[in-house]
Amino acid sequence: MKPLDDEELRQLLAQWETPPAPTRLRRRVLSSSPRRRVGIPRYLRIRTSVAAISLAALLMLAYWAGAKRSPSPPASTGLASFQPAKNPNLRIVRITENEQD
Amino acid sequence: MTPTELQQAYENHADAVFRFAFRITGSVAVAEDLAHDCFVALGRGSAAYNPEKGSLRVFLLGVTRRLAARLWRTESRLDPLGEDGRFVEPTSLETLEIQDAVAACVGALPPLQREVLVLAEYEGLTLREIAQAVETEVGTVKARLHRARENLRKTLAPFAPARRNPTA
Repeated sequence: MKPLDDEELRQLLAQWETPPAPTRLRRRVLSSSPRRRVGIPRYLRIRTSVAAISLAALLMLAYWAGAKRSPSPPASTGLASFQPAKNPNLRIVRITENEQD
Repeated sequence: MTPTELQQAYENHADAVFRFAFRITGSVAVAEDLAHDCFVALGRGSAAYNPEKGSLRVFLLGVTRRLAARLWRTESRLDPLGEDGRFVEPTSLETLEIQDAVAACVGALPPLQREVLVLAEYEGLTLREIAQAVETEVGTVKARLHRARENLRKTLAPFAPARRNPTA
């Protein structure tokens, strides 16, 4: 069959009508409240996000490096828990005058 | 975009967006969802409109087209949107009314041909505006439009009024 010419094609295409937009579409669109980001431009939001992520990464790196480097501290460095020996078992050694020479 | 601006945009362009979405998807429900997502994206600023780059209507049709393309890619991962997608002629056209036959033939076009045809024939966009909406070159739009029309000239030939009822 011979193909349609331009005018025939245009006439046929014009016969395809669409249904109207559903009435609920308007309600759906206009009731979904847009998340306003008042006063913060887009480029600034991106920069803030990048800065926050970089800061978090730096903090984690610093924490990790610090934990790796510092040795574990002694259990106690003060004298508060000092206890004298209970059974010292002392032995006195005298030095004679001859030994001193 | 303020709620007032969004409402104004909706009043001015909702019909065009819905019509376009319906004609490229063939489904009222899907078209409604696409139109909804399009205006919500506009309202939330995730689709940033720049008046210097063209009219709001062309911009919204472009957003709708991107949403539809995403849907197609999701639903048919094994059938990518090729430049020369195969045109499968709809079967049993004889039993259809003309309007349904036109819908079936346009719906059978490869998506990239279908969208430029709908934008040109039904939305009245210029080649430059279509190129902007579908994010390609004017030459590519011309080629797609030519192929779409060629396909439809053949498949819709039996429905030309003069040929359908020669005695009338």
